[in-house]
Amino acid sequence: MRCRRVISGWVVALLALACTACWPGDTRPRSAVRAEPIAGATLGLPDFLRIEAAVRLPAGMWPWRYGSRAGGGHLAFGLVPDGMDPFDGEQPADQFGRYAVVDLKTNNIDVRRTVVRGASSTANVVLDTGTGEHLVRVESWPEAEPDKTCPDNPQYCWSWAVFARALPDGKDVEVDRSRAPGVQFIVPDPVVTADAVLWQSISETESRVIRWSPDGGTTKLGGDDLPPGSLTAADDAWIGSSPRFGHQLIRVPLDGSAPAALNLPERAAYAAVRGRHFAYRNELPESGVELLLGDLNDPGKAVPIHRVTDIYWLLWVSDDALLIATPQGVRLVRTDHTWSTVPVDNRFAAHNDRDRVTFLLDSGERRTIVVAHVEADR
Amino acid sequence: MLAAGLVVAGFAGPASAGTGSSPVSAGGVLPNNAPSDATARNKETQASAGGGFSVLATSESKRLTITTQAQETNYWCSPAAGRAALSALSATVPSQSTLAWRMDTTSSGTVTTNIAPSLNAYQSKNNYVRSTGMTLDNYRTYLRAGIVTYAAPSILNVQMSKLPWYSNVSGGHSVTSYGYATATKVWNLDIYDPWDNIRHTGTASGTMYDAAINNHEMIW
Repeated sequence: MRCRRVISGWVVALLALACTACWPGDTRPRSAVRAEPIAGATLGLPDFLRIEAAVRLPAGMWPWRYGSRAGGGHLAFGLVPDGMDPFDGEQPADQFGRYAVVDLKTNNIDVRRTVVRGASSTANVVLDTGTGEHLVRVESWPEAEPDKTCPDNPQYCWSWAVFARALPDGKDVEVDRSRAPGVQFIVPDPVVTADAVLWQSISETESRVIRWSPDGGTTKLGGDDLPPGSLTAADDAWIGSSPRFGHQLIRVPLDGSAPAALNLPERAAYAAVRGRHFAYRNELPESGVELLLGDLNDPGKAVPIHRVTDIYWLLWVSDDALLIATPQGVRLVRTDHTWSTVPVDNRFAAHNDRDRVTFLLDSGERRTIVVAHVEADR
Repeated sequence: MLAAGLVVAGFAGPASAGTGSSPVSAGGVLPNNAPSDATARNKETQASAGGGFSVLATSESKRLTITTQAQETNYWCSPAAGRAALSALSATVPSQSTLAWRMDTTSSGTVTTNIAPSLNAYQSKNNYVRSTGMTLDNYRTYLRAGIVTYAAPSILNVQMSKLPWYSNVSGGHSVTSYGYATATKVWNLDIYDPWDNIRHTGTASGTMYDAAINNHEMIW
């Protein structure tokens, strides 16, 4: 059932009531679907993860594998089309995608459709400036006529755009767009700072870092030819270059001055910065990988703090701890070299925005989203 | 939809976007030097029966030495994965572009029936065959046989979104399996992925089996 746009008066109220059990695909009227808060439960999580909020989604409401992110009083995620698998499914090109924003105070779920038909909402971050909250989203979609738009490579003819709007009721405004269609998964993955959202305006071979704030709009940082990679935000923006494009950690100053690169070992990947520390995955010559920790003031002396067969992603979650996904599951690794198991499903991406980590629990028929932070004294 | 490079299986036309992994159609025309179905069956039977193979120990491992190179285009994952496999068998390996030509790789990817005969054109130590439709046990058995008996890395054709090191990627893909390790309740593979240009050691064989497209296809 889809709610329709309505035109006036009491019809609005009646339709809004009628829509309390549906997920409207349009922007109005607002859905009254609610998440079920879970209070007082540990959910089987270790006590060093302090749960700030946990909500169980309605049956059949499945987030994409891209995961969910929280900021301020909201969390947001893209929705899998009805009946599809979050890992196998793709957004039908002739239908609008959907995404959801959960108000963590009321647990109301606002479900809206994508701006672009056929698009998936792959990244959804919430910026809390203290005076207001803003949602910044990435949509990506296949071009409708790839043979015409991408005659040399029609198989890889996807575009993306970044939209920003005030929560809860603002209107999506496009703030960035791909310069040319390309591979479908070369899309921005925004990160949040205290007062802005950063992302790599990215193509297959290069990127530039964009800063967006509600007051200042978009500004470009650094040059146009930065390598694609993983972006983290500390006092400056940092790109851990993809191993396809070298093994560097690139500092992109937020004041707009010139970027500077730090060369990492030949087998380094997934470099990320937190404060004065940086961490990265390093392949060992024989087998397995190690997690190395370095100090930006003395980067040549990075030391291994954990060894495992593989690391799929890593995420700083406090000044002295990282989450890493391994074949043996998700682990919390501390800078003092201790580590703990974190029983979460590493098939879904986990994200952190300003010390809050958001992840999904694979709990059968109904998904549970957890927002937590790492206890500093554990 | 296809992604980092590859894998159209069994038919030569472009895969349609938005369909996920392409279904196999065994009706593709095999090149002249392709192994016959009988050849593949013989190799599978030999491996399954343990003919000449040791009984699987509780704990064992072996890793082949390969030379890696990131795929040079979005759609050259099969040539790049194949080149890594060939590097374990021959000191001299063809370029990705040469393998792409041999595999008839286009911007739509590589027809997976072209992979084995192309690899066989550049070495004679292992007669690569394409197998599908196997159980997890057979999948493991063939991968192990490829590494232990033939010292030949295998090519696994997979759905990218089911690989644990990607969260936002989809499409068909080829990777190279160049090692394995077993222990109690553990059966892991060493995988080289030419898209991210990373060696992923210790990947659960069940994960790769679940990610396999075209009815658990592999080239071994």
